[in-house]
Amino acid sequence: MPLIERIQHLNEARAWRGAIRLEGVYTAGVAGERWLRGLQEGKIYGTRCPRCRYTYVPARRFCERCLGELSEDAWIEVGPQGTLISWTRVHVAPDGAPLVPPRTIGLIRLDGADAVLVHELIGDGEWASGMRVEAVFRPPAERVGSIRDLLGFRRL
Amino acid sequence: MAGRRVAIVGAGMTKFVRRALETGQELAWEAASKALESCEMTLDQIDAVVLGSAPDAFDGVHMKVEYLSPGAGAWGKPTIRGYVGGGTGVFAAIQGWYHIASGMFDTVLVVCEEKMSSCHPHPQAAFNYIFDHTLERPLGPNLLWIFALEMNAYMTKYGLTKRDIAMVAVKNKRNAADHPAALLGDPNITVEDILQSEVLAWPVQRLDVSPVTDGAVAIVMAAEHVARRVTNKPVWVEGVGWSLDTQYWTNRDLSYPTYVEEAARKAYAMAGIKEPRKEIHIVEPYDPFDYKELHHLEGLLLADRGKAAELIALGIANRDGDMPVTPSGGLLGVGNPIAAAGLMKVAEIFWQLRGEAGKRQVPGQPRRGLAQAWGDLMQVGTVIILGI
Repeated sequence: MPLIERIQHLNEARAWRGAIRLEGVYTAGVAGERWLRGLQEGKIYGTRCPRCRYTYVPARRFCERCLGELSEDAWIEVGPQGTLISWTRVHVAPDGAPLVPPRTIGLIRLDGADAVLVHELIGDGEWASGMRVEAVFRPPAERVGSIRDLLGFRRL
Repeated sequence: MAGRRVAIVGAGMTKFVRRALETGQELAWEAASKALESCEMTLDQIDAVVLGSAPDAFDGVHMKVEYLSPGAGAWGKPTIRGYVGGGTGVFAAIQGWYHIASGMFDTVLVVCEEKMSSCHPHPQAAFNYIFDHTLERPLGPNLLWIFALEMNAYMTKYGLTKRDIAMVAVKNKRNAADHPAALLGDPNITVEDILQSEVLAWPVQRLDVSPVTDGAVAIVMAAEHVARRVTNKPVWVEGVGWSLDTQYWTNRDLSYPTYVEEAARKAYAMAGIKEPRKEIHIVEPYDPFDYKELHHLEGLLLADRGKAAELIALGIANRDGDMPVTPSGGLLGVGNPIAAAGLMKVAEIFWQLRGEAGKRQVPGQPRRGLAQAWGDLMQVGTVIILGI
């Protein structure tokens, strides 16, 4: 008789447990480090590839379309206003537990940018693609140079 | 030679460093854009991309080649990941070769990257999960066990001393002193330095081992009709081979890398090489450990079994010797960002054959070289032979 018919419950099978214990200690990168410092100052930067006419947000050090370098003069400020491209309301946490209250996540194309940023949407009520939104920063004293220096985006 | 003729026409690399501020994407971009610049090509002239990187756990990004792809020029292009562990760097070049030899593509950008500094407490920890979960992991194994047991078996079988083997580390770290991208070059290092370094798992000591490294390397490969337009110094792929030994690491021949011999024989047959010791002018065998360079020279049939150490001791393997071995400085000297280190060896043969290796240039206008890497669960051999 095949094994699967004899074992009615998973805990009847002998199991060896193991965890893969590793930690990542990452760097933000040359462009990423500068971009995060911008957030700390309340500014959202992009880098514009003059050849491909495409503005990356977060700012990148190179254009993925032509591999050209995006150097000093490619850095421009974008936003803080933009347009909501799409949104979702999340009701279940990654571990399967209910998320109360739910979180709202949006894709935002900042004014002056081609690339799209993912972040929290702040505020009750309905959201709709095409809505105008605006970045909300933490108070300056609370900023540490992280993506969380941005609290998210609210309706205009 | 199977398929269409394929040449390497450009190469570029980042510095190899202990911990880069650059992200993996930025490292990949630096190498890729330098490789394109070196042959005055632009990304729109590239048909396909091969991206090589070793375990995801090192960069700490799952499916990291997809993550790295923006830096490798993969946007909107047919892209494939090459992954045979430490063998990846040479295997990625082999993949680039068959992409073109098959007639499918005319130009391929091959990019290999590793950012090992992300992995804590140490990249070795990631390797603890290659062992059998019920039969070996309860013993608390460490990757070094494999190398220490293998090195001891090799020394015992042929009566080699630690000193014989340490000379490899000395040669490579000294060679690396002339490499502008090297992490561990040292023109004054001695055998005593190696023998006095910390014992990790006897007989393996700290300076017998290559370091944890961040870096990236890229090459541009092209079909013959493109290669001849791009450069007057194409470096042709003359032969390739790869082979896998058993996953049961305890059952391998610990004193001889059979998988390397199998890979080498395929590559020699393809290149029409009958007497490799006469026909191969420079060798870049994989040297993550000093004894491994010797092991691999024997597997490549470039030394008799147990006799590779004599090539080092007699100076035959020196840059100005009859058969220069690891003139780049290798993994022991330049550094070991796993996949990138293997492709660095391919790039070194490219530069040497074109006479562009600067202070590392071997004399005598070498016409043919071989690069080899080793990896997967320490069981794969990958070999590429290049010629002008």
